[in-house]
Amino acid sequence: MEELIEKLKGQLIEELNLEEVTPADIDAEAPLFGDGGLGLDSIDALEIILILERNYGIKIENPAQGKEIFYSVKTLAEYITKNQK
Amino acid sequence: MITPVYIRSTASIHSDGQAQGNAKRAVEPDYKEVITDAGLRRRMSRAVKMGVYSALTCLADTSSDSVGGIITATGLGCLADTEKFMKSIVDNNEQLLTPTPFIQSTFNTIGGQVALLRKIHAYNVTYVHRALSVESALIDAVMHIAEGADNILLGAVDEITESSVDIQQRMGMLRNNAAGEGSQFFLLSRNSNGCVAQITDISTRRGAITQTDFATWVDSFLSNNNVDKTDLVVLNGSKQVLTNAIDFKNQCGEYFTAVAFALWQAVEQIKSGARNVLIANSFQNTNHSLILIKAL
Amino acid sequence: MDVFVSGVGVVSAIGFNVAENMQSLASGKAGLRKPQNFATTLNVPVGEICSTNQQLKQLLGLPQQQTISRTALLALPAVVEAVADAQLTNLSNVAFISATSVGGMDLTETFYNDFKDNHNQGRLRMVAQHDCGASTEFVANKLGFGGMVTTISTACSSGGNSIATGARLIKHGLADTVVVGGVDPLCRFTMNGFNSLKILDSEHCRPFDATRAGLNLGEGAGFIILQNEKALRRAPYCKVSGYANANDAFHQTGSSADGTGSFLSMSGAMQMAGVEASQISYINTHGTGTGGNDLSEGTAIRRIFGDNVPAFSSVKPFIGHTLGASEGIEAVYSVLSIAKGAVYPNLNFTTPMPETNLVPQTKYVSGQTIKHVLSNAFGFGGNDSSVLFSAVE
Repeated sequence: MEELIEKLKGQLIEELNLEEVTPADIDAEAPLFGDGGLGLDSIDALEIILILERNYGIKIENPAQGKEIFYSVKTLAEYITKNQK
Repeated sequence: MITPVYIRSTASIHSDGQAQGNAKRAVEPDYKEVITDAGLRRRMSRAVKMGVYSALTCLADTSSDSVGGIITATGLGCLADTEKFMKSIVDNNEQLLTPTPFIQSTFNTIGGQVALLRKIHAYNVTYVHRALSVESALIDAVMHIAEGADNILLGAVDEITESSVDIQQRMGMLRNNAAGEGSQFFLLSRNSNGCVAQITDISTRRGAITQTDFATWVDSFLSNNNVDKTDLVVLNGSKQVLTNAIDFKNQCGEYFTAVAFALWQAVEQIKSGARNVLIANSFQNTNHSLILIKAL
Repeated sequence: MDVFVSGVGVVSAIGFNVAENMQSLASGKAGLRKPQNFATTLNVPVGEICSTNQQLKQLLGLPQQQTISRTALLALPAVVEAVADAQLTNLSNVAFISATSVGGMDLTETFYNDFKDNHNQGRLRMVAQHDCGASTEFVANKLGFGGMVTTISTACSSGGNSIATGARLIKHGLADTVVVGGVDPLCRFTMNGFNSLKILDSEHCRPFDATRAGLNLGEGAGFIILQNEKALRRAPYCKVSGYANANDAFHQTGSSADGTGSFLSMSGAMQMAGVEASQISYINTHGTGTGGNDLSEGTAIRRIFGDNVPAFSSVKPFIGHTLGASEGIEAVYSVLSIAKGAVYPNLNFTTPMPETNLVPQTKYVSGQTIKHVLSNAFGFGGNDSSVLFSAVE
């Protein structure tokens, strides 16, 4: 799980162009969206769906479905572990 | 004749005139200093950064409430993002495409981003008509100020990409000059207090024009505005021969919105003492414009 | 100064002229089908115009070998129809303000296939029409418009902004007659763009319905003729009595939940005309069928009209979302709503959105007294525009 969390942090930084953010800056349990965390928005949600599909073969058809899955890096990692074939 | 509008502040990102190959690229600032919102900055292409940076710089001392409109002009818009998305369609065969370059490719991206960053709910329109884009935006701005707006933010952006230079080269458009790019923004005002210059008149033409007709057009434009030719600086971006003219495209290169660079340069000329500046522009002998700027 | 509408012209998925469009609207005949005229793997309904580029050239009497963007081929017949309808004969002082969101992208896509891996390849004639001004210049030169000619691009609200700018040119005395509207072709670029945003419905779109799942794209062109009184050569259809453009300043693509931008644009247009909410007869909504747009627009409608919401509908289930052309085409429909006393049905509606509980018009009616029609077009970058058309007293 730890390994997956670190890998995900790297992928988020890369795909979302998070300038000046290092993996160490991202708290795995902090909210990704809205105030307080990384401050991501609906466009980022679409980009995260692509990260899951391209790298982990996981499909999320409806962005609204992603709300709980995308809460934090940790919830993302848990969802991947549970659903990866 | 138009309702005069006054230029309150200006900002520009432009080339130093040195061509690298066939391109005169703009000298870019450290965008972070002005575009401080990392969340928005991370998605911005070069064109968007150039535009937003110069717009925010131009607006630095102005409250958002006093801006009655944001009017932008671009010939080709956000080319790099357009090509990036087009390439991804082909490379990925229409599957699993990332939306960011598509979103950023729209022609009004810069106007929208400035509105978003400064929370300006006012009028926001983008003109995209070749080498008359800036002139169209100016005419719109003049109308808005005549309608009662205190301030209008007007700006232009175009960017060079490797592909655009290669295409223009093949089209034979770069025989006399390198491809150019840049971004200029102007805060135009109804009130002349504290302003440096006045935009006095604009005239535009479409279609091929002869040297004689161009000269006649310039003469009547100047005499309509009671300008003495001996007290005039001419910024020439046309192939027409005009006396005592400075070829402004020699510095900024050739592109659809190059006339915005000339407008910025006209204000610089006035700051250093010129009383009247005429900008004469032509693009590929199809779009032509004359703009008169006066000192206050 | 009054700005009159004296001519209309339209090309859309439900008809190649005004009469065909009106007939389809009256009979509830949608124009959506799977894309046939261009290569795409996206298997979703679109409001595609049946004619291929070859057929359009033949119809318009243009040489087959000439490279012309679909954008220009769609704009030309709509402008010609509008000009004839207004009985304009001398075009030497006529101004032309077109609008498009993608310009000649259909040709650029073909060019790019060859150019991508070798920059010496690709036919230059194709990419030469890439910019948004190209189709405008083509039409202006064909008809000989001698007034101001320009192009606006503010994504999906482009057409609305062209109408407002045209009306202002007349009010400022810079033109007596202005042709305004918009055009956009279907192409892989926008299809894939909206697909990447996951807002294309794989079924026919259902604006304002609780089960709505996105939009269908469409193509076409719509233009109207604006004139001051002294330039009129026939009895006008109606007036452009108000217009407003406002920025939502909320998010790059999403609309604010409280509908700030659309509230400002609708109320701004009404305020300019001095028209109260109770006087509006019909709202031609933007109503794309996406979750965000319809909620935001619906909320703004509730904020303005409260419990007394006038008849409203979205025509997008007929023609798709035609992007920069949408307010061009829908302006034609709005103008004819006043002229014919018609209200168009919002197809595919069954269940109101719980947040607003708004129920659109679902049946075509005509012969009503329609005095004021508000027409909306909203776009990326928070760009919201509304135009108010009013009957001539």
